[in-house]
Amino acid sequence: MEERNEISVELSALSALVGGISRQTPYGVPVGYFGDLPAKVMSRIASQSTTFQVPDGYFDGFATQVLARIKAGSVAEEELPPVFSRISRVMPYQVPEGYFEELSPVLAVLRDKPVYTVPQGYFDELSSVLTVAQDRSTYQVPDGYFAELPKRILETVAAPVTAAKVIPMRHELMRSDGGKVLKGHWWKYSSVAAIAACLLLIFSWPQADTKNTGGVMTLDVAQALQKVSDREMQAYLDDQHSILAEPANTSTATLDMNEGEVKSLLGEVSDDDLQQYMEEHGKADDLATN
Amino acid sequence: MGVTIQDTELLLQFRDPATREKAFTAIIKKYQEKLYWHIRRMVVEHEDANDVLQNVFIRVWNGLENFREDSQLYTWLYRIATNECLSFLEQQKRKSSVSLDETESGLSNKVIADKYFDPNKLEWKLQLAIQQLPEKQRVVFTLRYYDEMPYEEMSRVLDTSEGALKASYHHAVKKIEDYILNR
Repeated sequence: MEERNEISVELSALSALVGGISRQTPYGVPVGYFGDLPAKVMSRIASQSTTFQVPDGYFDGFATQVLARIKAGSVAEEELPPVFSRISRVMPYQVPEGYFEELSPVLAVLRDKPVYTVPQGYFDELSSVLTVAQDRSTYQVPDGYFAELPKRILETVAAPVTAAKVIPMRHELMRSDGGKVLKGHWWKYSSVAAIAACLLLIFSWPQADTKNTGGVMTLDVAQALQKVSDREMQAYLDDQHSILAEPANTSTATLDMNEGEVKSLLGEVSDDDLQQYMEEHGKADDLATN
Repeated sequence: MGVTIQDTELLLQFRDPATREKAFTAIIKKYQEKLYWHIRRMVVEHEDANDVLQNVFIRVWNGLENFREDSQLYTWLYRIATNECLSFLEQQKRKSSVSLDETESGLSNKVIADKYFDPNKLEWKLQLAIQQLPEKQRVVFTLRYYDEMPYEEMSRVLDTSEGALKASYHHAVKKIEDYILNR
């Protein structure tokens, strides 16, 4: 009653108009509807529960029954209901007369005639080719190659290192307009410096055969180069000159530099060094500058 | 308090297979009218209300054994009835492939088609106004206005906060007033 009063007060505050309307729902209900409803509902519940019935304990023995039947083999004929004994096993469907007689020759032809054919004697010829190929290796090795191989490897390993491999380069620097800028000995000294740098790198590697000074592996390059005579060095540079002098299209590496790049390159060389170089190699045909 | 005890007793009887059907019949008799009118106000036609109500009781039968009694039976029944109503209306919408507005006008047409319909009576105007409301507001208004349900209990039925329910009710009353005044 308290709740009802509260609701009425709340509704009147919100809308006096709505609060004044009768709470009687105006819809009608068939006579005796509520009297019959419980029985109707119980009837539906009963029909719902009796739609599918399973005997008590059916699922308890189900697995055992199935296994027993599997062990006994397929369903025995005598287990079929008696009505099946009165039914003929002849199929009631009809086939046009002579259907199978017409069908079978077609199938027989197809069976005896493969879709893909092979030229006569193909496999015989193929096998002889394979036999020859089996005995004959495609690549040939000189006689005694493998017998001598260990010896050759040992000789190569034991031989002293005389010179490191140098990547051949064009010894002439060309201007962008095609004119010669530098040629000759300037590159020879650059090559020597590169060789020295390579040797330094190789021998400063920790596994290299070098002296250990305080845990850091070092190499006295100057000392090593002192052992090389001027003649040997000149002979080596002459060899390199012949490689560097090869035409540009056969060279493995070319260097096309414009005027600005050359100036930039020479900018790193001190005036004293340039002066010394000019005194030693300052012939007119060795150097063409603008 | 007495009602709660009675529900408890009915539930005990329901759990005993020997008295199950008798207990359930008693539950139907006790709540059928309240639930029927709650459903009828939502679906309008008696035949639809009858179908929905029977489905509600069948659901209750199937679920009552697992009813945990952490809410009142009355609340639980209203919850099932409301959900069943909304499902029914959703099915009707899908069957007719019409928009929500058209469904609401369809419900208004059902009100007008009732053999007792009298356009001059405020009670009928109120029914037409209720059918204009969105579903949620319609449920809240009918539970509060006709079933006099406290917000706290309504909150358990509809799984909505009391504040939101109060706001819904407020909007519903204003819309109804507007409808009655301007039609």
